Amino acid sequence: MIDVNVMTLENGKDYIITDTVADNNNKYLFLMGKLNKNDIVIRKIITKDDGEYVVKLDSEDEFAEVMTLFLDKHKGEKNE
Amino acid sequence: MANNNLFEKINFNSDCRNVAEYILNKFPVFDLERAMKLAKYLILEKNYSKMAILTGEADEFLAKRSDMQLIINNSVQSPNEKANEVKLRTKKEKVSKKDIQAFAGIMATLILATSILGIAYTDRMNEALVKSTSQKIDVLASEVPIKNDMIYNRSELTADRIINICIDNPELFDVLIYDSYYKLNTHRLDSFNEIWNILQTRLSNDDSFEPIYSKISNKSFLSYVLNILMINNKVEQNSKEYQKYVELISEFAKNPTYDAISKENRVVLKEMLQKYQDLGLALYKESNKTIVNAVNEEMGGRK
Repeated sequence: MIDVNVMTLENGKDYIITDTVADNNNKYLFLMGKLNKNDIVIRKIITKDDGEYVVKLDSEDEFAEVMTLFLDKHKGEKNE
Repeated sequence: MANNNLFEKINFNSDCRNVAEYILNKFPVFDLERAMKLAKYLILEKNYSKMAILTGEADEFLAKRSDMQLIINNSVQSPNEKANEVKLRTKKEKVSKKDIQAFAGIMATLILATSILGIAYTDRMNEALVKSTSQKIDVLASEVPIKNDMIYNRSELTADRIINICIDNPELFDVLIYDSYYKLNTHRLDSFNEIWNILQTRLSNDDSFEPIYSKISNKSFLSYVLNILMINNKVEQNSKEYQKYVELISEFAKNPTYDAISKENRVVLKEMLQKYQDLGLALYKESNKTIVNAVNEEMGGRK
Protein backbone atom coordinates (compact mmCIF):
# COMPACT_ATOMS: atom_id res chain seq x y z
CA MET A 1 0.00 0.00 0.00
CA ILE A 2 1.13 3.54 -0.68
CA ASP A 3 -0.02 6.96 0.54
CA VAL A 4 -1.90 9.13 -1.93
CA ASN A 5 -3.88 12.35 -1.88
CA VAL A 6 -7.58 12.00 -2.63
CA MET A 7 -10.02 14.81 -3.43
CA THR A 8 -13.71 15.07 -4.17
CA LEU A 9 -14.70 16.74 -7.44
CA GLU A 10 -17.81 18.67 -8.45
CA ASN A 11 -19.49 15.43 -9.52
CA GLY A 12 -19.27 14.14 -5.96
CA LYS A 13 -16.80 11.37 -6.79
CA ASP A 14 -13.46 10.81 -5.09
CA TYR A 15 -10.33 10.96 -7.23
CA ILE A 16 -6.73 10.02 -6.54
CA ILE A 17 -4.18 12.68 -7.50
CA THR A 18 -1.79 10.65 -9.59
CA ASP A 19 0.36 13.28 -11.27
CA THR A 20 0.89 17.00 -11.67
CA VAL A 21 2.32 19.15 -14.43
CA ALA A 22 2.85 22.89 -14.58
CA ASP A 23 3.73 25.63 -17.00
CA ASN A 24 4.63 29.23 -16.22
CA ASN A 25 1.06 30.18 -15.42
CA ASN A 26 -0.85 27.13 -14.28
CA LYS A 27 -0.62 23.89 -12.41
CA TYR A 28 -2.62 20.86 -13.52
CA LEU A 29 -3.72 17.69 -11.79
CA PHE A 30 -4.11 14.24 -13.32
CA LEU A 31 -6.84 12.49 -11.38
CA MET A 32 -7.94 8.85 -11.40
CA GLY A 33 -11.29 7.70 -10.04
CA LYS A 34 -10.94 6.01 -6.68
CA LEU A 35 -13.59 3.46 -7.58
CA ASN A 36 -13.23 3.40 -11.36
CA LYS A 37 -9.59 3.41 -12.45
CA ASN A 38 -10.55 4.18 -16.03
CA ASP A 39 -12.20 7.42 -14.97
CA ILE A 40 -9.33 9.79 -15.64
CA VAL A 41 -9.75 13.56 -15.68
CA ILE A 42 -7.50 16.58 -15.75
CA ARG A 43 -8.12 19.71 -13.71
CA LYS A 44 -6.48 23.12 -13.43
CA ILE A 45 -5.64 24.72 -10.09
CA ILE A 46 -6.55 28.38 -9.73
CA THR A 47 -5.61 30.52 -6.77
CA LYS A 48 -8.04 32.91 -5.10
CA ASP A 49 -7.81 35.04 -1.99
CA ASP A 50 -9.31 32.32 0.14
CA GLY A 51 -7.27 29.45 -1.23
CA GLU A 52 -6.84 27.08 -4.14
CA TYR A 53 -9.63 25.73 -6.32
CA VAL A 54 -9.77 23.20 -9.12
CA VAL A 55 -11.66 23.87 -12.34
CA LYS A 56 -12.11 22.21 -15.70
CA LEU A 57 -9.88 23.25 -18.57
CA ASP A 58 -11.05 26.09 -20.79
CA SER A 59 -10.71 24.36 -24.13
CA GLU A 60 -9.37 21.39 -26.05
CA ASP A 61 -6.43 23.58 -26.95
CA GLU A 62 -5.56 23.81 -23.28
CA PHE A 63 -6.03 20.03 -22.95
CA ALA A 64 -3.57 19.54 -25.78
CA GLU A 65 -1.09 21.83 -24.08
CA VAL A 66 -1.41 19.86 -20.84
CA MET A 67 -0.80 16.62 -22.71
CA THR A 68 2.28 18.17 -24.24
CA LEU A 69 3.51 19.10 -20.77
CA PHE A 70 2.83 15.55 -19.66
CA LEU A 71 4.78 14.16 -22.61
CA ASP A 72 7.69 16.46 -21.92
CA LYS A 73 7.73 15.47 -18.27
CA HIS A 74 7.79 11.76 -19.08
CA LYS A 75 9.62 11.73 -22.37
CA GLY A 76 12.62 9.84 -21.00
CA GLU A 77 10.53 7.03 -19.61
CA LYS A 78 10.17 3.64 -21.24
CA ASN A 79 6.70 2.31 -21.81
CA GLU A 80 7.57 -1.22 -22.85
CA MET B 1 5.45 -13.53 -45.87
CA ALA B 2 2.55 -12.81 -43.60
CA ASN B 3 2.82 -9.73 -41.47
CA ASN B 4 1.97 -11.84 -38.42
CA ASN B 5 5.55 -13.06 -38.39
CA LEU B 6 7.09 -9.62 -38.20
CA PHE B 7 8.73 -10.21 -34.88
CA GLU B 8 10.13 -13.65 -35.50
CA LYS B 9 12.49 -12.70 -38.27
CA ILE B 10 13.54 -9.12 -38.40
CA ASN B 11 14.60 -8.48 -41.93
CA PHE B 12 15.17 -4.78 -41.98
CA ASN B 13 14.20 -3.84 -45.50
CA SER B 14 11.16 -6.00 -45.92
CA ASP B 15 9.86 -5.40 -42.39
CA CYS B 16 10.24 -1.67 -42.77
CA ARG B 17 8.02 -1.92 -45.76
CA ASN B 18 5.57 -4.20 -43.97
CA VAL B 19 5.32 -1.95 -40.94
CA ALA B 20 5.11 1.16 -43.10
CA GLU B 21 2.40 -0.47 -45.12
CA TYR B 22 0.49 -1.32 -41.99
CA ILE B 23 0.82 2.22 -40.75
CA LEU B 24 -0.48 3.53 -44.04
CA ASN B 25 -3.36 1.10 -44.12
CA LYS B 26 -4.43 1.72 -40.57
CA PHE B 27 -3.69 5.40 -40.42
CA PRO B 28 -4.20 6.95 -43.82
CA VAL B 29 -3.30 10.37 -42.47
CA PHE B 30 0.36 9.32 -42.45
CA ASP B 31 2.21 9.98 -45.62
CA LEU B 32 4.57 7.35 -46.95
CA GLU B 33 7.75 9.14 -46.00
CA ARG B 34 6.65 9.54 -42.40
CA ALA B 35 5.41 5.98 -42.22
CA MET B 36 8.76 4.71 -43.50
CA LYS B 37 10.68 6.86 -41.05
CA LEU B 38 8.54 5.67 -38.20
CA ALA B 39 8.84 2.04 -39.26
CA LYS B 40 12.62 2.32 -39.47
CA TYR B 41 12.78 3.96 -36.08
CA LEU B 42 10.63 1.31 -34.42
CA ILE B 43 12.51 -1.57 -36.01
CA LEU B 44 15.96 -0.18 -35.30
CA GLU B 45 14.94 0.47 -31.71
CA LYS B 46 13.48 -3.04 -31.57
CA ASN B 47 10.49 -1.37 -30.00
CA TYR B 48 8.31 -4.41 -30.36
CA SER B 49 5.50 -3.22 -28.14
CA LYS B 50 4.93 -0.19 -30.31
CA MET B 51 5.30 -2.28 -33.43
CA ALA B 52 2.70 -4.69 -32.10
CA ILE B 53 0.37 -1.81 -31.51
CA LEU B 54 0.99 -0.54 -35.00
CA THR B 55 0.40 -3.92 -36.53
CA GLY B 56 -1.47 -6.77 -34.92
CA GLU B 57 -3.19 -4.79 -32.23
CA ALA B 58 -3.90 -1.67 -34.20
CA ASP B 59 -7.64 -2.10 -34.07
CA GLU B 60 -7.62 -2.48 -30.34
CA PHE B 61 -5.39 0.51 -30.06
CA LEU B 62 -7.71 2.60 -32.16
CA ALA B 63 -10.47 1.79 -29.69
CA LYS B 64 -8.42 3.75 -27.17
CA ARG B 65 -9.31 6.84 -29.08
CA SER B 66 -12.75 6.80 -27.51
CA ASP B 67 -11.14 6.54 -24.06
CA MET B 68 -9.09 9.57 -24.93
CA GLN B 69 -12.16 11.46 -26.06
CA LEU B 70 -13.92 10.59 -22.82
CA ILE B 71 -11.04 12.08 -20.85
CA ILE B 72 -11.24 15.23 -22.97
CA ASN B 73 -14.99 15.46 -22.45
CA ASN B 74 -14.66 15.05 -18.70
CA SER B 75 -11.79 17.50 -18.43
CA VAL B 76 -12.82 20.41 -20.61
CA GLN B 77 -15.57 22.85 -19.80
CA SER B 78 -18.29 22.59 -22.43
CA PRO B 79 -19.81 25.87 -23.71
CA ASN B 80 -23.20 25.29 -22.09
CA GLU B 81 -21.86 23.91 -18.85
CA LYS B 82 -21.98 25.99 -15.69
CA ALA B 83 -18.48 26.68 -14.37
CA ASN B 84 -17.89 24.68 -11.23
CA GLU B 85 -15.06 25.49 -8.91
CA VAL B 86 -14.19 23.03 -6.21
CA LYS B 87 -12.06 24.00 -3.25
CA LEU B 88 -8.84 22.02 -3.29
CA ARG B 89 -9.08 19.88 -0.21
CA THR B 90 -7.23 16.62 -0.04
CA LYS B 91 -7.16 13.76 2.37
CA LYS B 92 -4.48 11.10 2.73
CA GLU B 93 -5.47 7.59 1.92
CA LYS B 94 -3.69 4.34 1.33
CA VAL B 95 -4.21 2.58 -1.96
CA SER B 96 -2.58 -0.46 -3.45
CA LYS B 97 0.41 0.09 -5.68
CA LYS B 98 -1.48 -1.85 -8.32
CA ASP B 99 -4.05 0.94 -8.54
CA ILE B 100 -1.38 3.47 -9.36
CA GLN B 101 0.17 1.09 -11.85
CA ALA B 102 -3.20 0.91 -13.57
CA PHE B 103 -3.03 4.64 -14.04
CA ALA B 104 0.48 4.37 -15.43
CA GLY B 105 -0.71 1.77 -17.92
CA ILE B 106 -3.58 3.90 -19.12
CA MET B 107 -1.39 6.94 -19.41
CA ALA B 108 1.27 4.95 -21.25
CA THR B 109 -1.34 4.18 -23.87
CA LEU B 110 -2.19 7.85 -24.08
CA ILE B 111 1.47 8.71 -24.42
CA LEU B 112 1.68 6.30 -27.33
CA ALA B 113 -1.43 7.80 -28.78
CA THR B 114 -0.07 11.29 -28.60
CA SER B 115 3.63 10.79 -29.19
CA ILE B 116 3.61 8.08 -31.83
CA LEU B 117 0.19 8.07 -33.37
CA GLY B 118 -0.74 11.61 -32.56
CA ILE B 119 -1.12 12.40 -36.20
CA ALA B 120 -4.00 9.97 -36.35
CA TYR B 121 -5.88 12.29 -34.06
CA THR B 122 -6.08 15.21 -36.42
CA ASP B 123 -9.83 15.07 -36.34
CA ARG B 124 -10.01 15.42 -32.58
CA MET B 125 -6.79 16.86 -31.30
CA ASN B 126 -5.63 20.36 -31.67
CA GLU B 127 -3.24 21.37 -34.35
CA ALA B 128 -0.52 22.45 -31.94
CA LEU B 129 -0.30 19.02 -30.40
CA VAL B 130 -0.36 17.32 -33.76
CA LYS B 131 2.44 19.57 -34.92
CA SER B 132 4.38 18.95 -31.76
CA THR B 133 4.04 15.17 -31.98
CA SER B 134 4.75 15.26 -35.67
CA GLN B 135 8.00 17.05 -34.92
CA LYS B 136 8.84 14.49 -32.25
CA ILE B 137 8.50 11.74 -34.82
CA ASP B 138 10.69 13.64 -37.23
CA VAL B 139 13.30 14.17 -34.56
CA LEU B 140 13.27 10.51 -33.61
CA ALA B 141 13.36 9.46 -37.23
CA SER B 142 16.15 11.85 -38.09
CA GLU B 143 18.41 9.97 -35.73
CA VAL B 144 18.06 6.93 -37.93
CA PRO B 145 20.45 6.75 -40.86
CA ILE B 146 18.50 6.76 -44.07
CA LYS B 147 19.67 4.86 -47.10
CA ASN B 148 18.19 5.76 -50.41
CA ASP B 149 17.32 2.19 -51.20
CA MET B 150 14.97 2.06 -48.23
CA ILE B 151 12.67 4.68 -49.64
CA TYR B 152 10.05 2.88 -51.61
CA ASN B 153 7.29 4.53 -53.42
CA ARG B 154 3.69 3.53 -52.96
CA SER B 155 3.60 1.58 -56.20
CA GLU B 156 6.51 -0.55 -55.08
CA LEU B 157 4.89 -1.11 -51.71
CA THR B 158 1.70 -2.24 -53.36
CA ALA B 159 3.55 -4.49 -55.78
CA ASP B 160 5.47 -6.00 -52.87
CA ARG B 161 2.26 -6.57 -50.96
CA ILE B 162 0.73 -8.39 -53.89
CA ILE B 163 3.83 -10.53 -54.44
CA ASN B 164 4.19 -11.39 -50.76
CA ILE B 165 0.64 -12.60 -50.48
CA CYS B 166 0.59 -14.36 -53.84
CA ILE B 167 3.71 -16.40 -53.12
CA ASP B 168 1.58 -18.46 -50.76
CA ASN B 169 -1.76 -17.86 -52.42
CA PRO B 170 -1.37 -17.25 -56.17
CA GLU B 171 -5.10 -17.68 -56.63
CA LEU B 172 -5.62 -14.38 -54.83
CA PHE B 173 -3.78 -12.42 -57.46
CA ASP B 174 -6.69 -11.03 -59.39
CA VAL B 175 -8.58 -10.19 -56.21
CA LEU B 176 -5.57 -8.32 -54.90
CA ILE B 177 -4.85 -6.31 -57.98
CA TYR B 178 -8.50 -5.44 -58.29
CA ASP B 179 -8.58 -4.43 -54.64
CA SER B 180 -5.39 -2.39 -54.98
CA TYR B 181 -6.59 -0.73 -58.12
CA TYR B 182 -9.86 0.17 -56.53
CA LYS B 183 -8.09 1.82 -53.60
CA LEU B 184 -6.01 4.09 -55.77
CA ASN B 185 -7.92 7.30 -55.67
CA THR B 186 -5.65 9.67 -57.48
CA HIS B 187 -4.08 9.26 -60.88
CA ARG B 188 -5.58 5.82 -60.93
CA LEU B 189 -4.66 4.72 -64.38
CA ASP B 190 -1.06 5.91 -64.36
CA SER B 191 -0.43 4.62 -60.86
CA PHE B 192 -1.80 1.21 -61.51
CA ASN B 193 0.00 0.92 -64.76
CA GLU B 194 3.18 1.61 -62.82
CA ILE B 195 2.31 -1.11 -60.30
CA TRP B 196 1.58 -3.48 -63.11
CA ASN B 197 4.90 -2.72 -64.77
CA ILE B 198 6.74 -3.28 -61.49
CA LEU B 199 4.99 -6.63 -61.09
CA GLN B 200 5.79 -7.65 -64.64
CA THR B 201 9.45 -6.71 -64.30
CA ARG B 202 10.00 -8.16 -60.86
CA LEU B 203 8.18 -11.40 -61.41
CA SER B 204 9.65 -12.10 -64.82
CA ASN B 205 13.19 -11.63 -63.51
CA ASP B 206 12.99 -14.20 -60.73
CA ASP B 207 12.33 -17.88 -61.38
CA SER B 208 10.99 -18.40 -57.88
CA PHE B 209 8.02 -16.26 -58.82
CA GLU B 210 7.09 -18.48 -61.73
CA PRO B 211 3.86 -19.78 -60.14
CA ILE B 212 2.64 -16.24 -59.73
CA TYR B 213 3.88 -15.15 -63.11
CA SER B 214 1.99 -17.92 -64.83
CA LYS B 215 -1.13 -16.68 -63.10
CA ILE B 216 -0.47 -13.11 -64.02
CA SER B 217 0.34 -13.86 -67.60
CA ASN B 218 -2.97 -15.46 -68.31
CA LYS B 219 -6.17 -15.90 -66.34
CA SER B 220 -5.58 -13.39 -63.61
CA PHE B 221 -4.41 -10.76 -65.98
CA LEU B 222 -7.54 -11.19 -68.02
CA SER B 223 -9.67 -11.03 -64.88
CA TYR B 224 -7.90 -7.84 -64.03
CA VAL B 225 -8.53 -6.42 -67.48
CA LEU B 226 -12.20 -7.27 -67.23
CA ASN B 227 -12.42 -5.58 -63.84
CA ILE B 228 -10.79 -2.46 -65.20
CA LEU B 229 -13.20 -2.37 -68.11
CA MET B 230 -16.13 -2.68 -65.72
CA ILE B 231 -14.83 0.03 -63.42
CA ASN B 232 -14.51 2.33 -66.40
CA ASN B 233 -18.00 1.47 -67.66
CA LYS B 234 -16.72 -0.14 -70.81
CA VAL B 235 -18.45 -3.41 -70.01
CA GLU B 236 -21.67 -3.85 -68.11
CA GLN B 237 -21.91 -6.66 -65.64
CA ASN B 238 -24.04 -9.58 -66.87
CA SER B 239 -24.26 -8.14 -70.38
CA LYS B 240 -23.67 -10.43 -73.37
CA GLU B 241 -20.24 -8.93 -73.79
CA TYR B 242 -19.44 -9.61 -70.16
CA GLN B 243 -20.51 -13.24 -70.50
CA LYS B 244 -18.33 -13.53 -73.57
CA TYR B 245 -15.28 -12.29 -71.65
CA VAL B 246 -16.04 -14.55 -68.70
CA GLU B 247 -16.17 -17.56 -71.03
CA LEU B 248 -12.88 -16.53 -72.56
CA ILE B 249 -11.26 -16.27 -69.13
CA SER B 250 -12.72 -19.61 -68.18
CA GLU B 251 -11.29 -21.25 -71.30
CA PHE B 252 -7.95 -19.63 -70.69
CA ALA B 253 -7.91 -20.94 -67.13
CA LYS B 254 -8.27 -24.53 -68.31
CA ASN B 255 -5.50 -24.31 -70.86
CA PRO B 256 -3.57 -21.14 -70.32
CA THR B 257 -1.81 -20.54 -73.61
CA TYR B 258 -2.77 -18.27 -76.43
CA ASP B 259 -2.46 -21.06 -78.99
CA ALA B 260 -4.78 -23.35 -77.07
CA ILE B 261 -7.83 -21.12 -77.12
CA SER B 262 -10.37 -21.24 -79.90
CA LYS B 263 -10.13 -18.93 -82.87
CA GLU B 264 -13.34 -17.22 -81.80
CA ASN B 265 -11.95 -16.52 -78.38
CA ARG B 266 -8.70 -15.20 -79.83
CA VAL B 267 -10.81 -12.52 -81.49
CA VAL B 268 -12.61 -11.86 -78.20
CA LEU B 269 -9.26 -11.67 -76.43
CA LYS B 270 -7.89 -9.10 -78.83
CA GLU B 271 -11.10 -7.09 -78.62
CA MET B 272 -10.96 -7.07 -74.84
CA LEU B 273 -7.32 -6.05 -74.72
CA GLN B 274 -7.91 -3.35 -77.29
CA LYS B 275 -10.60 -1.83 -75.08
CA TYR B 276 -8.15 -1.97 -72.21
CA GLN B 277 -5.51 -0.17 -74.25
CA ASP B 278 -8.05 2.39 -75.39
CA LEU B 279 -8.26 3.49 -71.76
CA GLY B 280 -4.69 4.67 -72.08
CA LEU B 281 -3.22 1.69 -70.30
CA ALA B 282 -0.16 0.02 -71.67
CA LEU B 283 -0.26 -3.73 -71.75
CA TYR B 284 3.40 -4.07 -70.95
CA LYS B 285 6.29 -1.88 -70.15
CA GLU B 286 7.36 -1.90 -73.79
CA SER B 287 4.06 -0.34 -74.64
CA ASN B 288 4.94 0.50 -78.22
CA LYS B 289 4.24 -3.10 -79.20
CA THR B 290 1.08 -3.57 -81.13
CA ILE B 291 -1.72 -5.31 -79.40
CA VAL B 292 -1.46 -8.34 -81.66
CA ASN B 293 2.24 -8.72 -81.05
CA ALA B 294 1.73 -8.33 -77.33
CA VAL B 295 -0.89 -11.04 -77.27
CA ASN B 296 1.13 -13.38 -79.43
CA GLU B 297 4.44 -12.87 -77.72
CA GLU B 298 3.47 -12.56 -74.10
CA MET B 299 0.51 -14.85 -73.79
CA GLY B 300 1.46 -17.38 -76.38
CA GLY B 301 5.00 -17.69 -75.15
CA ARG B 302 4.46 -18.39 -71.48
CA LYS B 303 2.76 -21.04 -69.46
